[in-house]
Amino acid sequence: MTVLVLTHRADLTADLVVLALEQMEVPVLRLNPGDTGRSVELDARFDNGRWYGRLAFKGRELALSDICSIYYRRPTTWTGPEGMSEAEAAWAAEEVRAGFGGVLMSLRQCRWINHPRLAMWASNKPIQLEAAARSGFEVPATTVTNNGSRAAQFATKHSPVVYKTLAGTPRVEGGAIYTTRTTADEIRTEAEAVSYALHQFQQEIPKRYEVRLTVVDGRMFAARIDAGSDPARLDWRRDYDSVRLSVIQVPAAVEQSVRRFMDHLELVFSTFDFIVDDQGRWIFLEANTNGQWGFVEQDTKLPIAAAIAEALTKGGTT
Amino acid sequence: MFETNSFAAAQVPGVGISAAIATPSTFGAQRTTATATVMKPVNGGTYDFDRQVTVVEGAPLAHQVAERTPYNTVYDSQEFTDREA
Repeated sequence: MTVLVLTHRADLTADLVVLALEQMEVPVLRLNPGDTGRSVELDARFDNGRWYGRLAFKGRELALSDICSIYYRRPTTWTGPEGMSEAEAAWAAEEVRAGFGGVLMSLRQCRWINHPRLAMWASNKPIQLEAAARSGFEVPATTVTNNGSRAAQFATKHSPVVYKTLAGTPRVEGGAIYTTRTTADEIRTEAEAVSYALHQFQQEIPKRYEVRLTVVDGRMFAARIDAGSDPARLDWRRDYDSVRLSVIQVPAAVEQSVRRFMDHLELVFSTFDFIVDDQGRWIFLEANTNGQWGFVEQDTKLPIAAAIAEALTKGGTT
Repeated sequence: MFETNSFAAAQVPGVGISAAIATPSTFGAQRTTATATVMKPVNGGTYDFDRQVTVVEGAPLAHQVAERTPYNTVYDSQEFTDREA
């Protein structure tokens, strides 16, 4: 049985898992569905109620029936050969996505980390907050609105507040929207802009430090994040070089909530971001169902890659 | 070296909650900034198709990483930092 890793070639974090699987002498096929038509081939047939066939990539072949688990990391968008119109390329990309995704997600024997359908559901921030509260986490006061006046009222009531994106940042070069502190006055000034789309504002929790928790199949790997600069204290991605990571234990109550959250959203893997306040309370900020963890392993030596590799070889279905 | 940003499994254009439960369409590779279409040096190394990892001087780059700062690549989303870290 073989582990299928779906990601692009420059994904160093996935390299760690491939290497761990290699160490365990588990066969791996790593490919990027986005390379279909260039170096990747999928040939599947529906017969007797299930999908059969093979994947091929650079001289390697894998029968679909031999796939025991799929690590869904960073597959990229299919891009067609030069000369296709934008509309043709978009349509073809959808065909690749539907074909690859449909066939692979129909394989009954596979365990996914994570199943894309579940990961997609769980990555939605409003859904996460509800699931987090239900799981027993403390969560910051939050509003999602395109009403500038209401947003300003929220900011007045819960000051200080931050603006956080709901679905990532603009996909343009150089685009990045970090967690940003804002005020009721600023929101009023930008009320018209706020009205054009949904915006998420959240009470800013004074923090002693942050925690990045990585959960793999029930195992927890927690890293304390101490920010060494003001920008990093607001959002540690702003000044990564000033950040220091160290191993920290997860309190039992938090661990219990994490397990409830993972079960509720049917996740095998997720990272979590917490703020730990002066009273030592762990406040849930968000979960990233396909969050990065390579830098955590690198800094703390927590054996996350090995845990993922073990989970991929465990069997079972998602 | 390791990327601290990423894209969600769920970053599909125009996908909302209702679409999220429509299974086949949510195989969401698929919105990312990456466009890995040609063979180029990656992350300062070379992708080894036999080992299926990037290597530098024959050894896996992921095991050699000494620096913590994310590495900009032409493939991935390093310069497109998003919420996920």
